[in-house]
Amino acid sequence: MKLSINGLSFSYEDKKIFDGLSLNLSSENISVLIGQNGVGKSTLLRIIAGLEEQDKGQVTLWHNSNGQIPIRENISYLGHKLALKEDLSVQENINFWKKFYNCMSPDADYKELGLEGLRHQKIRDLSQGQRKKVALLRIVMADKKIWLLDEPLSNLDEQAANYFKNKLMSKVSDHKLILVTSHQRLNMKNESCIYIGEKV
Amino acid sequence: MRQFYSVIRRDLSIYFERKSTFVMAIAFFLIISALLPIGIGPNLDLLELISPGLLWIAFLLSILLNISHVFEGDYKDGSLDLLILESDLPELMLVSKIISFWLLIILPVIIFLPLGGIMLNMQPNDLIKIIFLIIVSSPCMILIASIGSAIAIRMNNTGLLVTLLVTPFYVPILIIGTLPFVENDVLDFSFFRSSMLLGAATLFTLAIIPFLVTYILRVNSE
Repeated sequence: MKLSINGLSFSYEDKKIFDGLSLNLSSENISVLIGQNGVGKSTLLRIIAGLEEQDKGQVTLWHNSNGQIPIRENISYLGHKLALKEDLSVQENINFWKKFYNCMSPDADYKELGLEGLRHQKIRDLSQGQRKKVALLRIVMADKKIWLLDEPLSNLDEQAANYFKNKLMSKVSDHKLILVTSHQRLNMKNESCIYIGEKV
Repeated sequence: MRQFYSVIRRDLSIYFERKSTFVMAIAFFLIISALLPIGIGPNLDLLELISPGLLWIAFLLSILLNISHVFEGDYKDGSLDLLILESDLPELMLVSKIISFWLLIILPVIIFLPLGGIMLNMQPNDLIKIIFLIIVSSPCMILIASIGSAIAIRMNNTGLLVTLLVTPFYVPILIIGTLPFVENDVLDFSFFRSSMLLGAATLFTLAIIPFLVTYILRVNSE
């Protein structure tokens, strides 16, 4: 599977964020978008997801055997906002997404991420790192073809970060197309770094 | 439909967890219904004559309090992006939001309409008619409010702005809803005609507004 970005231009309030950006992403690697704050990493993710509209350029997804396929229905997106309901418990949030995606309960992943004892805690009582783990659980559950993840490892403890890195690597071997934003390299096998803005 | 029901179920759980929203709407409705007769004075005939209009106004004011919040929570926590992006049919997701909002904000006030009607010295026959008209037209009101809520979604404290945006569109509903109770020789506006018109308005807005609101949210969430 390949994602092609051709001649992408995007401005925000008269400030040019991208001007003719072209990229080719492949499901053979984990693509890591690296750049300083404000260079447009999250914006690029949102444009690919269809949550922002570019001024010019095209984003196309190619499947090896099926040719061009629609992006929207194949995406799992994790943004800065984690889409968790503060008034509901971890279990209730996950149950909602389980029904929404019509997928299996992620019991093994609960344990691996250290969320087992937090099932009945309200989201508002969790730390930022624990919230991020619940949000990542949603991405793992949805198991779509393209994963667009905005700084997925920030706020995570070492155990959870390693678990999720392993998960990403296993998904690459399942031919998922993964694009992650970060401020630095993730030091993973199959990592393909794309620098935007000035190299850090 | 699986996604449609799961959104309604989740919204119901959230509101039951956070009861203040619908309790406030009911309390506000009852306070208005209790204060209006005091302001009018001890003339029961006058109160009975104008009670349909007063009940409509009390209902409208109590729902205007919350109507700006249709998408607010989902926008703030990022769920709205996902509902639009990852659902099979985003328009259906919006209808599910409208239904859960109706069940949680409008229905509790409707349940208390008879009590409001009694406080306003309304005839039982008129009370039944007005409850029916409010049930028929309230989905249309939320659908109209959802446009305002979608337009103002990126702003903070949008309550007043949304209220100002949508109130003019409620005027025709209020006129059609009160006309069957107005005695005059010029306009013979029956309850049946009023119900048909308000029902048509609800069906018309239901057919169009989800598509319009999805478009506004897509443009506005950028």
